[in-house]
Amino acid sequence: MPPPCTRCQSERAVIVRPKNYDKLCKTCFLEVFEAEVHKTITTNALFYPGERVAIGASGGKDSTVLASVLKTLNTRHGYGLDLILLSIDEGITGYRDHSLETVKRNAVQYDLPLKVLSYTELYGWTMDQVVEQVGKKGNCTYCGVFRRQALDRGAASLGVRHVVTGHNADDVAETVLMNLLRGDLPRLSRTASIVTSTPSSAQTDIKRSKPLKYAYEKEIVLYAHHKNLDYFSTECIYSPEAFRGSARTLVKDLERVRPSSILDIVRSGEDMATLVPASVAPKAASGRESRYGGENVSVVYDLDEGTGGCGSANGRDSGGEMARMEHQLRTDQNAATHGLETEVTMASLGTPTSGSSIAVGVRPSHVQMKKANGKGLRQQTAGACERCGYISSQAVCKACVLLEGLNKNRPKASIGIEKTNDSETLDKGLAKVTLAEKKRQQVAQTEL
Amino acid sequence: MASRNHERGVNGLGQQCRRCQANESSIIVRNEALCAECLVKYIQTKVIKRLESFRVRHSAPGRPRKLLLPLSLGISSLTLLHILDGHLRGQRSNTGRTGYALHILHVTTSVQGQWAADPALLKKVKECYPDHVYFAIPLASIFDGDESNGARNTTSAGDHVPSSSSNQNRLDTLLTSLPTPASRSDIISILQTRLIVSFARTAGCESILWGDSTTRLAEKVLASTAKGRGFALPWHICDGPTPYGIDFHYPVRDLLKKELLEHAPLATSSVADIATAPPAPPTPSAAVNVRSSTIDGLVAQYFLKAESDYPSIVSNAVRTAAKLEAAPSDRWGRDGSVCRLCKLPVAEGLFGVTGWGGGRDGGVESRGSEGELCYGCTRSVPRDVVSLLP
Repeated sequence: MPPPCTRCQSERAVIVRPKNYDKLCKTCFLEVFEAEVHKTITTNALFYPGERVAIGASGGKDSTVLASVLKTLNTRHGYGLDLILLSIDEGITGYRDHSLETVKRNAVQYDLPLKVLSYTELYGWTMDQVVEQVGKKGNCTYCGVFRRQALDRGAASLGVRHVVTGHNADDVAETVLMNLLRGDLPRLSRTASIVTSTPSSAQTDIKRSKPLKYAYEKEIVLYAHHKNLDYFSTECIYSPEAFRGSARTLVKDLERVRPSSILDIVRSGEDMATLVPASVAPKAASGRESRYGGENVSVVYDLDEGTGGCGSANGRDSGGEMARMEHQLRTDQNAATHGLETEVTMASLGTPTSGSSIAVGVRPSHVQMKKANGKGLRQQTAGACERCGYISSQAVCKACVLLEGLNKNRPKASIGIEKTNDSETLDKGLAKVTLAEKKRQQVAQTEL
Repeated sequence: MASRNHERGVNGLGQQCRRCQANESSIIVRNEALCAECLVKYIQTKVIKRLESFRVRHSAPGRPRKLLLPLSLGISSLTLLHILDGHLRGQRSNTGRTGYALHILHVTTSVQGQWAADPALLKKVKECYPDHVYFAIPLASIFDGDESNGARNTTSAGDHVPSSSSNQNRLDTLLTSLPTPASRSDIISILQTRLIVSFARTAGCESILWGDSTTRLAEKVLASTAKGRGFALPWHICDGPTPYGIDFHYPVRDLLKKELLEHAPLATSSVADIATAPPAPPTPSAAVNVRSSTIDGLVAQYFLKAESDYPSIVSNAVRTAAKLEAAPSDRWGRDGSVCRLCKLPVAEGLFGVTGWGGGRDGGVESRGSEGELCYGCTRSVPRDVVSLLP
């Protein structure tokens, strides 16, 4: 005979909360879950009445639960939000086409408008085509970079200034560990932030937030299950990055040893963000007030054009990414030890001081970094891509760099049957035009 | 793995040593095939480079600065002792005096399920490195009421002095009251640190020289994060002042554990003899056994593998994490906002696990009701066990 629910004491407990082992009945679990998300929203003052908010919807469990909970809370607590589903079609056959069907059904079920934006429209490439060209290794970089911009551009085209995503506590914990492993302090300082934003000086001033930041993945699954939500459960068919896969495995193991670990890592992530030196992440240094203060949500400028991937990692990667970084670090180390670097490079690495803990010439090199900082620490400054105007810490944003690489190798004329009837996308120059065209449209819409 | 094999293929063991160009190489260290002699030199240099501030010229004649070296009798702390012993001899023969004097402290942890070094080993160490002052104190002496009296329980002969049985009982009761092996392992290491710190302060040492290798520091980075102790990370891995009122130094921070293991048999003295005696860190089976696993064990296992496949990533992670800056003292909160257990400052007096964004159950906030423990310690110590803490 199962014990009674520890909350209502009347119903039978059918759920053991993964987070803290509380035994709850179905009704209480759903209520508690919703109440916690509500509390996260109100404590951080995520929304204002009448705000138009786009829900980044993939059709997966996280965004489906997010849409459902937001819809519920919006009605229950009178947030007064104007909710829209925004879906990005990466063009992955067998994965996204199916999950998009789910999103379309969700739109009907929750009575929310839906906007679908495809990589083809924006970039002239589907992910399938990208993978065909670059292979399965490293394709998540393309996808991550493209999606980040796509969500912003999609939101801008809808006149929405706030995108919420379904990132859960497991995702955040995993990213905290991943950033520690790959020695990425700027990202570490942002990862645990509930709100990130691109600066207003840029073309797109879109706020992003993660209302499910403290929700356990397992509880999200339970919520979806007990609410009979319609979601798509297949993971992306392309391989995840190795660092994420490795961090994910560790997070799951830690959770098994101590269930609170996930939350504990999130907490550590928040605390460590305040310890990141101002020279690395000046904007994040004031993050702490937001955590306890409520009203005043710190805005962390997010220049994360990301090698981020999509977080659907399940550890299948062969470790190529880690091996590459290992190799690069060794080469750097070797060069630093033996003075093999040229004068110019040495100067940009900063002055080595003996006995200091500052790395000399050893940095994660998978990210293009600014080397101007004298302390050898990486600092990012916000600017705009000179090609598409998107927020970027480099002269040309990562998406444009990636696109350039892709387009360079694309045959100017195709042989055989192309799926696309739009032969323009085959022209290497025109892919950029497509992007520029989009940008003009957005600017026009923003002005409206 | 691939890169390692590749290396062997290119550098080829048995060829000329890349450094001295004379001897035959026998070991590959970070891309380079080295001979035994050059490896020993490499290890020494890496450690001694970290001790710039303890050179002879920085100390007043006749009054060498006292430093504490906590000796677990594991490979890292023994290697550190071995190198410092040589360093001091060098200083003495070059200048007739030394820049510092070593106090060696071994904390005996007779706790069930926890590996404890054979006290006889300490005697052996003392015979090998007789120029230093040795102490051994039991972990249970943390219950000696006034912690600063910890030093009383020792003899300079390094003999093991058993703590009073009531202290041992209190320690046993505390540890058996903790809910999981993960909590026990966490609390034991916190108590050890506390005891070592209070001993060092009482003995008038100005710094503690920890033996942590790169690998061990990397473990601390992830383990502290996983235990919700991220706020205190700089105090666990960075060189310099700590809220304990004493400086911490990690002279072995630039060396991987596997390098220390390769070095040990080559070191002229008996480091290897002694250090091989303690078992390797318990390697849990591949599948995570929830009942017996600890966070420390899990993370150690993770880096055991990472160290062999991606040593530079491990070093890079530690170097990067060491750039985190400890919270400035004005953020430590009001006076007395110190965790009762780990004795570290709790920012803004935010004790316990509920008073933050992720700390709500059912939307009910109970900020500040949890009393005296920091976030990480609250996770390890259930409320009804708090009264058992020293």
